[in-house]
Amino acid sequence: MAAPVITVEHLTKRFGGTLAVDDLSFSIAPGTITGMLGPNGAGKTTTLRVILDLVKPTAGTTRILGGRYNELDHPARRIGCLLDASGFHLGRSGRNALGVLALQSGIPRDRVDWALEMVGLAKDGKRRVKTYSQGMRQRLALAGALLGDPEVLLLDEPANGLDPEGIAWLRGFLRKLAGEGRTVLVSSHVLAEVEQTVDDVVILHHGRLVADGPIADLTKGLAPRVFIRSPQQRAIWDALQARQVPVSTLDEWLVVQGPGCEELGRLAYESGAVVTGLYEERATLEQLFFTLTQTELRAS
Amino acid sequence: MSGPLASLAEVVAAEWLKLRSTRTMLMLSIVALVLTAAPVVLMLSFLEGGDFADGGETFMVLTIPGAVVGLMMLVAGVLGMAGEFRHGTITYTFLATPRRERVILLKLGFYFVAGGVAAVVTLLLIQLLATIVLPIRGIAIVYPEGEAWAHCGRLVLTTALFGAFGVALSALLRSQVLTVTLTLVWVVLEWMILPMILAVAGHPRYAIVLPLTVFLQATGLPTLGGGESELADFYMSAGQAQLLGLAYIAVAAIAATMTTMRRDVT
Repeated sequence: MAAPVITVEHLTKRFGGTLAVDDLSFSIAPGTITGMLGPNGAGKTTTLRVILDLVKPTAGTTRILGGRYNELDHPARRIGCLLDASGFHLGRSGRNALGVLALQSGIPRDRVDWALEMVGLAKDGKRRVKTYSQGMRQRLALAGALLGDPEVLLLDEPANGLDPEGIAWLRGFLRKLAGEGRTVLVSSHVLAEVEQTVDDVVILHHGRLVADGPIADLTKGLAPRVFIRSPQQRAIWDALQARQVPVSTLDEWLVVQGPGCEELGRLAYESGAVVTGLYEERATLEQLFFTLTQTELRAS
Repeated sequence: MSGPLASLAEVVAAEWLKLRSTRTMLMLSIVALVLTAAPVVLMLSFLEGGDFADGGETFMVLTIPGAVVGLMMLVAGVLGMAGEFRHGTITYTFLATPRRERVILLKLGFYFVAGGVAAVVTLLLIQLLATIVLPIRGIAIVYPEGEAWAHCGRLVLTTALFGAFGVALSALLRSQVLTVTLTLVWVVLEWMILPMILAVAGHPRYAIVLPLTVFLQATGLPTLGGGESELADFYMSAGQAQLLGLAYIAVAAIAATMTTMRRDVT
């Protein structure tokens, strides 16, 4: 098995009295897209900044490409980062903003035009950053991350400010990057947004790791939810209660966890109920997240 | 070119691009140009042929308005460093150069050289104005000669020190607004309040070691023409003042480096 590209071991970070990251450990395999997921305040950005040596850990260690970030030669050429779309001087043109990044990172300046082209900003390169929309600034930041043709990309909330078209573009773009053999760690608080993009996930809650691994493995143990609608909803409800099957309501639907569509259809038929709607929803990251965090809450 | 020299050339080019790609620096340059050129033209307009002992002394007097470039370089240094924190670009600067002490050292060096270059350009401008205006008035053109060359050297060095001092101060304080505000407050304190307090306390000579007074002495301007200030008797030599100015910069830079290395960039 290839050595991990990123390793985080027992990382803890306190800001004064606030515990931002709590004994966090995980590793990222090469050539994968990994989603670091969790709600706002879960510790995602802090973890990324510790990996990049921008924030000093209270305890624990991080390694990237075999060493600490500040021990690497020309780290910005090997590791591309998108941390903050507002990290550009608003008075500079997009092209000059990337030019500064390229020069101070030792990256040839001809990469600037390539990167602008990659993110669809080639025509807007001469405009000042302050005239850019939020989505354009996000694309510019992404172009900055790509400048050095890096083998590793760390992207903090890359979909922030992007419209639905931009998000779809980002998904395809990340897939393309992973297809080229790059390792991508992307953080997001919108679980559904990255579900279709990532291979593995690291799920954080209150600075702690609640789960990590391939999405398929993590959601395998979760039963799909079946939605059923009927004018005789009460009859189905009673039949499910009698069998001690967990059931809840959502608008005019009954939401059932456990039995599949076929079994539920038969149960409705035996109860004399007419079924006007029936479908199965596969287990989602969101479902996994809530299941895991509720388990954690109960445990605490 | 390869290796460390190439890296140095790239980061210097990056600093130069930062400097010339925003309007702020252009505005500062225009202000410095106007504040220097206008008084020099006025002085040249009223100058009489026999006002000074020789052309060198005349040239030294003409450089007095050029001292304003030192203050402009102080502001440029502040904007160059604190601006990185203000605009959030420091994150990417530290990602490109994770050894933060190198970032501060590089900025100190860059603004030191930039200050020197700005002073040389100012002196050339003064010479150009003298070359244009004096013949129109039928007076022989003056050039730096004798002591005037040493004086020009002091002016260049002091302007360079001002640029580095701005970087060191703002690296320590980080906030652009705070640095500019504190500098203005300090100007009032040092040039109006502290000398008065020191005089009342019976120790007026201590005022000569206050930072801005030190930088002013480093130019040699206060002693030009004998010096008429109450402190004139106590002034140190320009060389001593330059050394003390360097010490001020070193202290601020070391304190800035130590705090910058420890601080989180969030």
